[in-house]
Amino acid sequence: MSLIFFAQTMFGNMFAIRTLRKFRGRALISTSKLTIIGTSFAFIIAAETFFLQNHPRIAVFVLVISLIFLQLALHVHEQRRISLLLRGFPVFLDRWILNLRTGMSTTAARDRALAATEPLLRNLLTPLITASDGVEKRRHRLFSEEITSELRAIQNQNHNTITRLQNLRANVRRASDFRRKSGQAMRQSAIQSFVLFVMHFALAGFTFWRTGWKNADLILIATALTLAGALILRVLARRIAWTI
Amino acid sequence: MDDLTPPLLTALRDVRWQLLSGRSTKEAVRNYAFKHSDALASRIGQLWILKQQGTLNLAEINWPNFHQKTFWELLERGFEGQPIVEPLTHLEDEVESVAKHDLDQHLATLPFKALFPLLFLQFPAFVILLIGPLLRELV
Repeated sequence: MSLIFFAQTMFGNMFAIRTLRKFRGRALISTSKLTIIGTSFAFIIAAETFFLQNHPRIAVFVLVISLIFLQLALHVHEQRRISLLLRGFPVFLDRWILNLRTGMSTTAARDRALAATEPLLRNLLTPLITASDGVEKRRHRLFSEEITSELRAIQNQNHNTITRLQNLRANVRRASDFRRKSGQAMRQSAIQSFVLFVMHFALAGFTFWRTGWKNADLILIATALTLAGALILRVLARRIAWTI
Repeated sequence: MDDLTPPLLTALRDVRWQLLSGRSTKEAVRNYAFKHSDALASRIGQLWILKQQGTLNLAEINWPNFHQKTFWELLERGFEGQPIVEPLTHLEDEVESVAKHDLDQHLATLPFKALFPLLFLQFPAFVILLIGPLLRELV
């Protein structure tokens, strides 16, 4: 029994460390936050295996669910972080334009705007706008190829900078406004699907607890129907009849 | 978040942006056609190739809507060296306004469309879970 206990703790921690390392590599969640999450998770894994040591199957199930939850929670947190950082980008452009209009050179104006930007956004922007042409050409974590190539072009060609930055800012704002509006449809369907999933799994869990494996086929059919419904809902939400 | 921007709006933004960055209309159209994979981009790409070969017959093209036709006509003017950034900006405004109207209509009808999977798939799933085990015990 103690061997199972040891293996569960070891593998659980190894998976958790691997997941956390992957997120640290992307540098969108701070290391201190990941350390806190990692420490709490190590404690949760130890507690799970300790309290469920007489039920190894349940312990493995709980452990797998916890690991999936960790991955999902970090992913959601990262996406929230990305949307917050993207909101800061037009503000950075505002400051850059303002500095240029008050008579500063392109580089000085950019550096002053960067200095006033949030540290994480600054770290992600710096290699993009300070690298010479041909450097750092791989896909950026936050920005589309259009934005990165335009920022590089502004950096490398010192003419018409204010107009180009204003165009970039206008494009970023317009695209984000439209995306927010079109995202409403997806959000509606996602919320509906989420609520139905929670209700379905609660009911499936209750049925399984009451009747055990003999109704597993019914649970499977119901799960397949719920999944199919969510999939069709997603397709319906995405399919917009454009007249243009 | 999923990007549901209509292809024509993406095309207009891309081409206009490239023109503002100092590229010629030919370069902008070529870059746009190679970069995107939607139906409009491949159509523009084909027309671009036909135009390069000198075999493009405008009368034979069957455009799905007036806005796409106007877009191509503006590009034709750009190929001839005329300035098209301003007309493209106006077209983009028009297209965005139509797209917003389409989106509003979609959002208004979505709750009714969402009823079908709910009624025919997800509700039966709940019924199966609730009544299925009971019926099985009775039988």
